[in-house]
Amino acid sequence: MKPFKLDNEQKIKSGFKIPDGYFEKLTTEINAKLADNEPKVVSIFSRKKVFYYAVAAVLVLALSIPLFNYYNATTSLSQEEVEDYITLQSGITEDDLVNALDKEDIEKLKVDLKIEDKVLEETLLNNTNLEEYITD
Amino acid sequence: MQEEKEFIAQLLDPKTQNKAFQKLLHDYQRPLYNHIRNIVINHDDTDDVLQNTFIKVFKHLKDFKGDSKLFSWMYRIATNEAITFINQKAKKNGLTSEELQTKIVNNIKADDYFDGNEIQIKLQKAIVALPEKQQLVFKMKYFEELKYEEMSEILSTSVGALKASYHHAVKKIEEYMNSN
Repeated sequence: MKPFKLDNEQKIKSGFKIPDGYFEKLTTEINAKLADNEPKVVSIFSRKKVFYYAVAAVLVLALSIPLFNYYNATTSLSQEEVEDYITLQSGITEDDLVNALDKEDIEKLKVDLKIEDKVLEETLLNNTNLEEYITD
Repeated sequence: MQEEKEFIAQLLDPKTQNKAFQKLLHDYQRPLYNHIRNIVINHDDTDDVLQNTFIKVFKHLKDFKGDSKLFSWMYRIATNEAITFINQKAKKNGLTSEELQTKIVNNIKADDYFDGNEIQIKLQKAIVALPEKQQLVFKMKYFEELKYEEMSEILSTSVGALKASYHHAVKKIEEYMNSN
C-alpha cells in the first residue's frame, strides 16, 4: 500500500453536516436577540439604575440618623433635666447621692438663715415642742 | 478598502445600520460557521458560539478601529469565542481542553451532524493529536482554504511561522495516517 501523502490524496472534507434551514433560523434568532437587547436594555437598565440610586439614597439617610443624633447631642444639661433624671431613675440611691457630693457641695447646700434674736425668742416661747430640735 | 470604509460607516449609522448588518450576517455566517465548527466540532456548540460572535461584533462595531480588515477582525472574535468556549466547557467537565477535544472526536461517529467516512474520522483523530496552534493553522489552511496572509492577520502571526506550523502539522498527520 502506498504511504499516505496529504497532497496526493483527493481533498478530504471535514464531514460536518449543517441542519436544513439552519442559516435562515440563525438570522432570525440573531435579529431577535439584538432587538431584545438594544433599546429595551437601555431603558430597563436606566430604570434599574434610578431604583438603585433611590435605594442607596434612602440607605445613606437612614444610616446617618444615629450619626446625626450623635453629633448633635447636647453636652450641657439643664438643671431641670438633671433633677428629673435623678428622681426618675430608681437605680440611684441616697447613698449614691451622698457619695457624689464633696465638701464644697455640702457648704453650698448650707442655708444661711439670718434669724433675728427677737423672732427666735418669740418662736421658742410660742412653740414649746421645738425643744427637741435645738438640743444639739 | 474604500468600499469597506463606506460599509463600516453604514454599519455605524443608525439609519443604514440594519440593512448593513443583514448583509454582514449574510456574507459571513457560512465561513464563520465553518471556522467555529472546525474548532468546537459539535453543531449545537457552534450555533451558540456563532450567535455570540455576531452579537459581539454588533456591539463592538463602534470600537472597530479599522486598523485591520473587517474580515480578519470578525474571524479573530470568532476564534477567541470558540477557544474560550472549549476551555470553559472542559473546565466544567473537569478536563483539560485537549482531553475534551479528544473525547469529542472519539465519539464523532455518534454525532447526528457528522457523516464522514473512515478516512475522514481518522483525519479528525490525527488533527486532535496536534498541538493547539498547529490544529488551528491546519484547519484554517486545509479545510477553510484561507490564504496565509489572511491567517497572519487573524492570528497575529507571521506568514513564515504559519507556513512552518502547517508543514509540521501535515508531517505529523501523515505519520498518524500511516501508522494507525
